[in-house]
Amino acid sequence: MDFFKAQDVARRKTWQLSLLFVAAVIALVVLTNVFVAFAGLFMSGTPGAVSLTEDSGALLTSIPLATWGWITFGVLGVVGTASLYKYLRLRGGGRVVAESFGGHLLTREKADFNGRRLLNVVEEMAIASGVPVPPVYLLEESGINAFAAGHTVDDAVIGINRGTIERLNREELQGVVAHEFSHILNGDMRINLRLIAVLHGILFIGLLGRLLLRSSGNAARKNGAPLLVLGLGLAVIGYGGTLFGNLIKAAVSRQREFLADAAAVQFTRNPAGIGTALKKIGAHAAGSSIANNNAHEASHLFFAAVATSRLRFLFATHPPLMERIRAIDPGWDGSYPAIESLSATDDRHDVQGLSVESPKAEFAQSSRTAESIVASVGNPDESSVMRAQELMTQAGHALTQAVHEAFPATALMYALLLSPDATIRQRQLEQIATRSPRGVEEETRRLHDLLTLVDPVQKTLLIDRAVPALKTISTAQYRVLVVQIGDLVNMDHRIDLFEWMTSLTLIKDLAPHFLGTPAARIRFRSIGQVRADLIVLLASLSGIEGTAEAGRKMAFGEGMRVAGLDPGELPVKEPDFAAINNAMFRLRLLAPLQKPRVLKAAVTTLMFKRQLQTSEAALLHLIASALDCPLPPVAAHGRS
Amino acid sequence: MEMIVVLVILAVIAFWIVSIYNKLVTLKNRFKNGFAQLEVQLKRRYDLIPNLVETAKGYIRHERETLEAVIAARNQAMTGLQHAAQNPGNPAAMKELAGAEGALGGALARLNVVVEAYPDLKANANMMQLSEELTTTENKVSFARQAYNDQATEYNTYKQTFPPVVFAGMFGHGTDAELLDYEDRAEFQAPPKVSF
Repeated sequence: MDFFKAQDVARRKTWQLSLLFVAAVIALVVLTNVFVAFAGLFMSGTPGAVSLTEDSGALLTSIPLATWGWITFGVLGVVGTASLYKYLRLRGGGRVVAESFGGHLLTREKADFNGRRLLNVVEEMAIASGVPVPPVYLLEESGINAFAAGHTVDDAVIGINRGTIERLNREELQGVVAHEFSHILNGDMRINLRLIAVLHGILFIGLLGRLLLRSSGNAARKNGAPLLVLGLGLAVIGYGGTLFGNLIKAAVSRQREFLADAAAVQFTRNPAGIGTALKKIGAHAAGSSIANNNAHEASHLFFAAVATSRLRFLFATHPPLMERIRAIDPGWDGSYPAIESLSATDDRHDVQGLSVESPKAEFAQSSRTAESIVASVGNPDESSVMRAQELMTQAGHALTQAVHEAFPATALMYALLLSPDATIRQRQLEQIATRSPRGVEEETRRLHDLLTLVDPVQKTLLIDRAVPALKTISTAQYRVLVVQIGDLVNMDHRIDLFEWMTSLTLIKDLAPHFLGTPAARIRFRSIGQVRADLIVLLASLSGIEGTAEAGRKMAFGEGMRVAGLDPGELPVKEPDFAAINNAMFRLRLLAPLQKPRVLKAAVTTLMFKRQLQTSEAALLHLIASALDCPLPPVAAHGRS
Repeated sequence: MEMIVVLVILAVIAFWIVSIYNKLVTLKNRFKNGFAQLEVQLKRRYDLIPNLVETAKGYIRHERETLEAVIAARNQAMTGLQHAAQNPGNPAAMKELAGAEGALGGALARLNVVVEAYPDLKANANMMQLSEELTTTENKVSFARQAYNDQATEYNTYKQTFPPVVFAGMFGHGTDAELLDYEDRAEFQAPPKVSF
């Protein structure tokens, strides 16, 4: 599926969702009014006053208009408050959702073999997709299930049941994780979170009804009757709301599960993985069930159904298991495999926290065009996964260890920004020493030496890989990190684009976690609105290789032409970093369907009349990520 | 119809209180999580110490009691950690851990002084590697400890601000989380590596 189209559809889906929500609320308002009319009738003690058989219109008109208004106000107020509350709470991102399901953060140091294998699989898949590695939360549930939650790739988390990692082998786990990544990449998560907030409002009326029913029992001796009636009514209306809510949920969710299954097959090129995972759910006594109550409200987030519903065809959030399996494995005979707990024997590499052995496959990526690179955004395939595994192995043991722990990961970020000039580097290190806790400076020095051995693509991946560890530091430590990074970048008074994009990416990846997710709205619908910003970006990209002026001009012009814009003149002065900062910020707010043109223009300028060098491939990765376009690792030609 | 207005206002208040409750829980989970990170590093440190002592034993003839003191302090700290891990933030448990950590730091510092007298031991490859590892772990410990203290402080501060302070006790968030504070002594600041 086309990533940009999927993003666009996901955004429009949000509109659909709002419409359904409005419809549901109107239904609730009408239902409540009708109920109050009946109750009024009943309480006034004159049941015969308006005969029900006469016509219901008379019944409704018997209520004064003001009463209608008040009741409507009441329902809107309560539903609105409930939804708003949930919406605000969910701004905390994916981790809030995972924690509310009873999940706890899975860290490498505390993880057992199964946990570490899961972390490796998630890391591989993240690198293959070109997104920062999401933190993983473990749910102590025995059913086989998983979910992804968040607004963007930067605050996304993956949640997995204990039952899943204990009963699935590596390939099956990979299938499940790939399914969840498809939800992350195609914008499903965003809709899903909105849906939780909306449903919460609708469901809340029923909850209130049940509460009143219970309290009316206590007050029964006195004047419990009105409370009882009110509670009963609200409960009934609430069930109506639940019904409506589940319908919405099912309508939005079911189709996307098939898509995610298909995407999982595409990512891993291994139908057996996800196929067997689904079959194991069928065979497992606990199935895919989840005990936590909060999870039921958000059943549409999960890999498989959290509970079985009687009216399955209407309310099921997931297609029937059998259908999903048949869609992947048409020749399936309908029998489920016997399952047992797996022992920690099959992957020795996972024990050491390393990835599987580097596959010796040839990548058919060597002669890539701007076209094919842009098409791969949000669309990792089997070769991306293999390349990710290869890259992870190449990073070596020491750096792999460094990205997985908070302390060295922090130092690693500083090390990435150290100047190649020894004098400036010395000053940078002295400055780190004054501001950071002891040991950081020394660790930065050590990691800097290791970094001289890896290429720029590796360096950008180290940022993505360090994200989960960096998200475990405290907010105060995060603030120090940000200030320190700013100082390191500015210290040499001459910033190169790569260094600058590194700091930008890092802050973009971490800020939502520590400061809450800002509502990123589309501000520009046409590429013409950001022409000036594109000029800034392309002008700086055309200058990176120190090419002759004529070559620069042509690369720039070609980029603008690919974007479908009039190139105009190449700016005489190279843009400064405030200008690039501003340009990137604005380009990010461009509508999804327009972004491929920006990206294609950037690739064209970088690749003008030559092959992509490693440093440019790395830069491309950073730019794509700054534009919220997850780009699988691009193979480059040689070092530079 | 006042009832409806009251109902809506009640709903708003209810959500407001629920959000305070949730925030308290979130912050508590966060500092507990911070402690879990710290626990990993402290454990790693405690696991290294017996090896260190074992290596030193082969060389040190006199001052055996220094080695015993290190082991005793290490075991004490281990117990302290277990108690604290069961109930992170609990004042008694955290103070016990802080005290034991301080004692261990002192014992290690004295060991350093003793080791100075044995050049062979200082040059021992095993010893050098162990002290290097110990240094790295010490750094990780202090970084994780800072994170834990930040998170615990954040929880305490929120708890003491106006609206939450009314409800905190009711919701079972009565006591403040205790920070893990012990003196970073000079000897402690310059961990074994320098003196070995």
